[in-house]
Amino acid sequence: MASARLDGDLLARLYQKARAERWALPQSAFAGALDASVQRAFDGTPDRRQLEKYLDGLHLEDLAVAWACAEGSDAAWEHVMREHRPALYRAADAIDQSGGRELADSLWAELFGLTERDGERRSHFRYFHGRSSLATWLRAVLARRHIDRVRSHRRLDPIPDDESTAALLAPAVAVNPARGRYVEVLRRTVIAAVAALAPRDRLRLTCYYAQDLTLAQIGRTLGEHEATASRHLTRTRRAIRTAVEHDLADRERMGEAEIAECFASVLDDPGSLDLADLLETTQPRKKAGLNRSTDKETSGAAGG
Amino acid sequence: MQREDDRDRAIDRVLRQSIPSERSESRDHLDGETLAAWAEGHLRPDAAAPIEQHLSDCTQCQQLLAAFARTAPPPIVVEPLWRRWHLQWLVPIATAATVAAIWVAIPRQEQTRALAPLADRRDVPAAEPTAPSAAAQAPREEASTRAQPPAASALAESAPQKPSPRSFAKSAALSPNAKREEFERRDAQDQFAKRQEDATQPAPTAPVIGQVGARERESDVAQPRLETITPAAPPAAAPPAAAPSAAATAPEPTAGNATSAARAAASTPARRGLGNAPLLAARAIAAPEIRSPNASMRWRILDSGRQIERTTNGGLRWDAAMLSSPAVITNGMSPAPSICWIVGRGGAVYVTSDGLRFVRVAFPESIDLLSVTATDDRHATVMSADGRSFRTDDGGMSWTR
Repeated sequence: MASARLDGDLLARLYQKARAERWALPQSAFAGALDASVQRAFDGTPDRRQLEKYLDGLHLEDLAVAWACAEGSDAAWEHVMREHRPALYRAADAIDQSGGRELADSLWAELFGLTERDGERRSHFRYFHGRSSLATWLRAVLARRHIDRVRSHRRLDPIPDDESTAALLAPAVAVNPARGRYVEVLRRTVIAAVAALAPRDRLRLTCYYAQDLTLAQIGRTLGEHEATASRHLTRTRRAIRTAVEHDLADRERMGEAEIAECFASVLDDPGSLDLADLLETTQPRKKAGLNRSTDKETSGAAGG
Repeated sequence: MQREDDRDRAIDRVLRQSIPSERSESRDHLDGETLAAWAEGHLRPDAAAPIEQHLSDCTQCQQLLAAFARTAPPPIVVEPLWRRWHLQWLVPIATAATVAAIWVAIPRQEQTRALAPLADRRDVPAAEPTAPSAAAQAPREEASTRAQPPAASALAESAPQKPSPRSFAKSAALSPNAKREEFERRDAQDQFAKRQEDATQPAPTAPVIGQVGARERESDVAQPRLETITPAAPPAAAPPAAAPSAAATAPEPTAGNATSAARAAASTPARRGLGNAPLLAARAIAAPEIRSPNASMRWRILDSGRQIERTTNGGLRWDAAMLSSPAVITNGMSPAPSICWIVGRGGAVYVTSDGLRFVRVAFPESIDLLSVTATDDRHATVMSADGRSFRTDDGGMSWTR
């Protein structure tokens, strides 16, 4: 066990580094927090060097105050209330302006430990292991709860049509069966090209197209600059186009004219109307997304 | 042929329609703690890669990631220091302060440079506490110093004038009065030697531009002085022609002992616009002077040659000298303490025997005269702007070329 390697000197040093004495956190409780964190991070038993490196990289002060809250320290609670509660409410409002505050209050109650198990208060802070800052952890936990709540509500909603995309394309098929085949072939090859992307490129692409994140949000989430995210997106799109062209030529045995017809079919397809095309003023991001990235690249960022 | 942009647009359209319809088969999803650790980059690479793989495939976790991304506080934009509104007023103020500092500092430097030679001549020997002993053992270096080529002298002139180490060595051991007597004695000796040279050389090989004291000739400043005043001066290879052309292009009369302030002002015209008042003050201080063998008796040319003053006490008091008729004076020479010849434009030649009243003597031509060399109140040689020299042996009654 990792706790066996937490000798007194290392524990004392980390305890001092975490300034855990401010919250009167018992050293044993702090050792328990470290032990839980190590067990969370390592499948096996780390060696001494790995252990020290890991423990020194933790957000020890946040770990101490979180576990002090879990231990019932009033001073720690006041500190967390003062430092983190406003940020938590702001994050909740950003996620859901209508029910976000309720979500935050619910989380706050669990952090305090209203739920009792076996007659003992169990604070949610005990799931904090110091691998991120306390503020980031609170945001992530809040986001998790939001997604869980949304999905639980969706179970009660009518089942969406899995073939929604096909339904959107149906008018085109009805108008021109050949063009409908081209659209379907192109869609299939695009999905295959996306699946062949590197995970990070695919994640960036889904964040942009599926989750509707802005380039700035993608950049902050993936630890990139906004311009870098834009360049990567543009490159990924070009890589997909190249792969699609090769697939259409090699697997689908299409000539250049048919390939051109495939792309033209998608552009001319009236069935897959995108509101962004029609309402550029109300949903400018979707429409401007490609142009924005393209502009950035053509303006000199492509080489970066 | 389709353009690539059209195909990119087609891909973009398919991506917008197709990617949201993808479904994840995963059942294990990320918890908040793992997501936070991954987002902050705290996970080891071997632990982060599977999470990134899962995020790229799992729609539910992508939604979690999107919700998490939307909770991020807006980035703090740190404006550059110079763009902060409350600091913008510093820019014009700093600029104005810089300009003011330059305006104040540079003319003062010129003035300081202008004052330096005067200080050298008057005060520096007393101010210098010590001097190299070896220099004191070189009693007659004037000859070798005079023998320096004009170019070397010009280099020496460009540096701030300082008394030679020998002068310091001697003067350091003397009282102030004794020093002045020493300087006067040496001036007289040099003047005597100069007269002897003039007597043996009717046409001087080097232009004699005013009567320069012996200490200044030790640094050989007479010849290069004109060159520094007028950059367009001909090379020193033709000394007789150099002086006329130099003075002809100079806007003001330049006596032999024009100070370095005037030279600095002439050589740095760009600085003139920075402040006229200090520069004029420097010019006033740097008025060309005509020295007599007695160092305490000098004349100075003011008002661009229209006024001349005399001092008998080494510059403590200046008295206006009278010209019998107005003229623009360009140069002069004093062979004796009370005798002074001055020349000017339009054939103006004056001589005084009492130091204050200058009497104009007849001159055969109305040409600009640039310099005069005299041995007494009867014998003088003047040089015109066109390079000719005229000599008189009867106090100006008659002139010969």
